Amino acid sequence: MKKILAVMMASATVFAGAIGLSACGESGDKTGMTPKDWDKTITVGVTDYEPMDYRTKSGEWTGFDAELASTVFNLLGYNVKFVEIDWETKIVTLEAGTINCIWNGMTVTDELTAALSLTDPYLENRQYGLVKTENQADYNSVASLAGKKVAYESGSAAAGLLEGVDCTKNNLGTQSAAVMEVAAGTSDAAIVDYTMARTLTAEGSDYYGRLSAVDLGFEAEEFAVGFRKEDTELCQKVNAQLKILADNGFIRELAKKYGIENLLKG
Amino acid sequence: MWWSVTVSLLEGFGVTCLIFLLTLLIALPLGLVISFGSTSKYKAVSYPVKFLVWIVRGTPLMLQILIFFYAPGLLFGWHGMERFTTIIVAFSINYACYFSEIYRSGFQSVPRGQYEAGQVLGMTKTQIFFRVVLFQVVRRILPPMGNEIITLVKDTSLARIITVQEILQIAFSRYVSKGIIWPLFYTGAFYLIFVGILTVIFHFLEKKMSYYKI
Repeated sequence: MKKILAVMMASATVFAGAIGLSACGESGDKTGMTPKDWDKTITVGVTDYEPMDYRTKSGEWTGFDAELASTVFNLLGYNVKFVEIDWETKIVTLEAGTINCIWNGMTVTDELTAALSLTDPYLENRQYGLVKTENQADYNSVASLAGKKVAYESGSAAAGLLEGVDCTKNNLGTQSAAVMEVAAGTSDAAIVDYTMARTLTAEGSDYYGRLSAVDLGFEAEEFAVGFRKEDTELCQKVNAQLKILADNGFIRELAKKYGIENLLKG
Repeated sequence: MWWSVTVSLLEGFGVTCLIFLLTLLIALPLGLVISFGSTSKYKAVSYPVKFLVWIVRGTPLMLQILIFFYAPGLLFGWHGMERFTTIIVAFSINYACYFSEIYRSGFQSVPRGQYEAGQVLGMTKTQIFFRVVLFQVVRRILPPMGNEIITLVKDTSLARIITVQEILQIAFSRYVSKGIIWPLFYTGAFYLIFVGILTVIFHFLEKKMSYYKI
């Protein structure tokens, strides 16, 4: 008995030490890794999110954001690598140095503005509801969500919009999982980006005819690219490049290709 | 901050404990039934039960949870079980199968001579089971049971895959997703203390039981 207690005490001490160490680490330099150290390769954090970033049948990343990111970084002289991240822990992943930037239809929020260096918005976004087609008529405003089971992605813009709405909240790992919940009937509605709602309900897509996108009247938001707070230089370079690509019509062409030209700013 | 984190983690820890207790409550007796089934002398009983144990032990618990929760709706359009019920059902079946194998090893480790001695003394089958065999089995299966039950404490975290608000899900969605990592260490402390207490209890039980040592 005494021995066991001794062992438990010892492990508790080690554990407390670990917490102490991690606390010390926070004040110092986060990673010490600038993109240059990585042989001029930028690692972009993405999630599976059609039409912004998604995989082709052969496993390559493609999509509006993936193509735009590749173009911008190649013009700046970097190679690009895409890494799938957990959207919920995107800030931690970025700060831990696993990725250099988040370029994944990221909606600007106060929280992100405080934690990251953000580019100027390059697209305008809106949150939409996805519901079963036969229930479509019941959903026309945020108030109609009251008492329903609502699925959304943890840490997404929808999470913030649902604050104060009186409904059962199911926070899933990805937007696709939230949509799947509606198809499975385990949630009544999913709140996802307009881009995704449109792509998934378009003719020929997986949920065509089964699910419908409904405008619940959420306010417009903006998409931006995020870097670590200290990477302001890289952030500004990307910003400048985005302006050039917007002015010469490249972004417009790309948006047309992915069917989201109505999200273009201005 | 410290206080509000403690409160919300405690809220999640309540759910964790509830999953743990309900699973034990159902899986411990259910495992006994399954172990009787798999050791039955009727092949019509033992083969299907062994098949079930093979399926359940051969696939990840996470996969079983996802199938239990999403398959009814996606395959047949049925209204499936609630989230928490799904977790209890999936956990109970999964753990009952593991427990059944532990019970089986316990029963088979009791020498034939013990049964025969009981018969010589004129005891009935039920008497032999409850008065001779059972306590020896309990003593023998305690260490592997302790192992499995400690694993169960940590497996409760799988419930977050279908967004049951257990402690890890709360730590993740409320803090880690906002870039605050330390509540994860705090969450770890909850599990450590829980397992620490279980370790002490099992150590105590094993000591008590060694009274029956031959």
